[in-house]
Amino acid sequence: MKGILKDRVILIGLVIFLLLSFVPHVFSPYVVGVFNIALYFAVFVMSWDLLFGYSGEVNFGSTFQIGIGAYTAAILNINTHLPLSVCIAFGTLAAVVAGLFLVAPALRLRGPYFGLITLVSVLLLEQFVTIFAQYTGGEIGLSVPGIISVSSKTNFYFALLFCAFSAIVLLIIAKSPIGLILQASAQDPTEAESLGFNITKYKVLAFGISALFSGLSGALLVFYLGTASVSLVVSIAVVLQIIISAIIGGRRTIIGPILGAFFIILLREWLQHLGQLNYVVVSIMGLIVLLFLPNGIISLFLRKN
Amino acid sequence: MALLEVINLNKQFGGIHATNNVSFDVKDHEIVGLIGPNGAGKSTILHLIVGLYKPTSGTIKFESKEIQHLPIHKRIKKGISVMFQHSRPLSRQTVLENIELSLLPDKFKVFYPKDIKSKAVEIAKKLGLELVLDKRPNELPFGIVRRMELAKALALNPKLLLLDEPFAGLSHSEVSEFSRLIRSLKAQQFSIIVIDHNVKAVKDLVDRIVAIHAGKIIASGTPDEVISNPEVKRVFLGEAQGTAFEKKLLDNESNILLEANIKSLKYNKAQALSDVDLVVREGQFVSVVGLNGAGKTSLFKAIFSFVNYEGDVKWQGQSIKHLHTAEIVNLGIAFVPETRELFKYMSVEENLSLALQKVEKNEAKKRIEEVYSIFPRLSERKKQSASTLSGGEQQMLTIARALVQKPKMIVLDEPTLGLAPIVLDDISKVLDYMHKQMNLTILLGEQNLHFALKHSDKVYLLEHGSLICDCTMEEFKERIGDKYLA
Repeated sequence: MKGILKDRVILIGLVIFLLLSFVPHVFSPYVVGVFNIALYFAVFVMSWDLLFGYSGEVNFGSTFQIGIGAYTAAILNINTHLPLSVCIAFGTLAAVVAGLFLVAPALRLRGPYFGLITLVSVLLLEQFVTIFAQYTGGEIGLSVPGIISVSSKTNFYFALLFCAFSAIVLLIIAKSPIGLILQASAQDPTEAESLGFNITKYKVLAFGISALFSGLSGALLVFYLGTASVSLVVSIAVVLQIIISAIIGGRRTIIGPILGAFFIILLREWLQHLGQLNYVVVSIMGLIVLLFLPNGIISLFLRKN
Repeated sequence: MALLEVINLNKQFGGIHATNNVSFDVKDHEIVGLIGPNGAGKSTILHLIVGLYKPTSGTIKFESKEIQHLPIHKRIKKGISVMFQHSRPLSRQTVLENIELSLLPDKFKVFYPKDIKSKAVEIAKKLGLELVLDKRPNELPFGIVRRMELAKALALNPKLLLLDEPFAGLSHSEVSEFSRLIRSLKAQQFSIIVIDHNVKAVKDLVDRIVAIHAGKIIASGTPDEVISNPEVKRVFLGEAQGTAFEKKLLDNESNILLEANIKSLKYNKAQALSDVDLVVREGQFVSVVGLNGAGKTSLFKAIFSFVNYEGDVKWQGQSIKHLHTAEIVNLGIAFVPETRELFKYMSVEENLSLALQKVEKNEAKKRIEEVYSIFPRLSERKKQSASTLSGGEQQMLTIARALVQKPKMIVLDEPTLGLAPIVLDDISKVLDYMHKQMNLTILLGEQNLHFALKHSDKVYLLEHGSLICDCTMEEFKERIGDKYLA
């Protein structure tokens, strides 16, 4: 236990958790709602960080998994009488299965192929949603009847626990032998394989876990907001926000991405009144952070070495 | 019973036979040296054994089972382990964690095995790493990092250990220390293949040597047998036959074209050059000779600003240290790199015209015709893509590409690399033509001493990054020649 507390990253995670648990007592329900979205978004970013930060694979299509999870759960909720939890479970499963069948085969290749295929997968999903508009609601999106809770407090604490749970699982994996082997394969794939590791196996596992949390968080987000739409869970713009958040927060730390997610979501909300300029200002702020903290916000709290 | 059997192994890259019908074996508890000059095909054989490449044809048997179709990790699990010459260890982890990585099973494990730390410490101690367990690789000197790499390879508990150029980049004292370390492993229960370009470095270490040149085995046997083999002597020291080319009168008064004073050049921790001063005068043919790893390529990289260094390089009196590579080339210095760097999917003619993008069209055509008259073979193959050329033809294309730029001086890095003796004669004639008929100033980097001596007005001998001799041909022969050649 003492050993765990010595790890700065875990300590920072605990502090974030404690601070966040006071949010509903301090802020208005509207602000709590913004934090709530940021919590689900943070899970997207952490999942992305597992794949990029540890195995070095750039996933330009994490919204493929998020979107499949979200839309599968939403469509099931609208068209069947299955309980909400079952819809969410199927959504998550669909995200993992679709990811493993369509995208993971590219992990066997070296070079830019994985990144390219993930990018294409998102564009395909976007088209798919538009073409099958009678089921997916097309560009307008879907309204779902199911809802996690009507209380903003309940919603918030549920999201906080979910985010904490995801962080713990992802951190355990990142710090396990699996994480070490992933890092070795990112650094020098030939050498990692020459130490006897079937590196594809580990990358597929990391991808599967990343898809699981992305899909689950996507499905939960739908039932928190009551809607699913392309601009919310599929669009390339969302991917870019995820990537920027991970890098601003501090890649390869799992906890850093939570900071990045809050930075981006809260800043955008705060600058809402700027209208279109909002994106520009957020991007410039992001660049400034990167210029002074190339290892992300979390490096402020980490020992130098 | 042989542990490893390599039978009729062939590997082709485009038109190049990197290994040509290679067969040899390694017995239990034997140390075999795989020796050959740079570019001979040693690394290709290593990569074929480990599984980085699949052979074009041939068989590799390990403990009597064929393994040539297996992926790398399956071969490692059978008991092969390798220490690569260039590796990138985990840089954010400590030495101990790097060794632990090696000890992990290839299974999804959330927790580390309990005894992994004590096992890693034990291996580290064996290699004298106990004082640096908590250091990261980039905080450590190069020699220690090599030991950590050896520890990682040993942690796999191999039956066959492959060492790829284990002494490259190490200082004299580190070499002997590392050699002693490897010899102490000999007492343990496994076989070793040591790959090296230098016969001297391994002759006390190995039981048997397999010598390779241009992808073929040219000799094998005990170290003494191989070293005294005339073919081996010829390959390693270059062709002794053939008279030297007639030398131009050495003009020590002509203008200095290039002057390099490199105080220090380092790659991370590895010292590649120290205090190397070199002068090339207009019209001279200057050679920089030395074994592979002596620092020849590093010197050229410094001249062309490919790497950072302490010191200065001047071209016709002006410092060019802060210029970019392209700007330096535009001053009139052409580079023929060791690795050739051809655009392999482009045709011969496209490769040549690419070097002439800034030249007016008719002039470009004229220059290409000119080089075709020097290299008629290239003219025959002008529509062929560069990758389908033989090694010698590729080398000629690389030289031709430098020539069309009409340089004042041409820098050639190991133009004889991996080429058969007949091709060497052709290259020799071309160099002589360039020097005498075209009046080009030439700076040649060469490990084939005879090849270099045939042409040179002046010779610089590099050893472990330092200049041993800086002299005219006559002085060189008198002072160093015999000793070095023997």
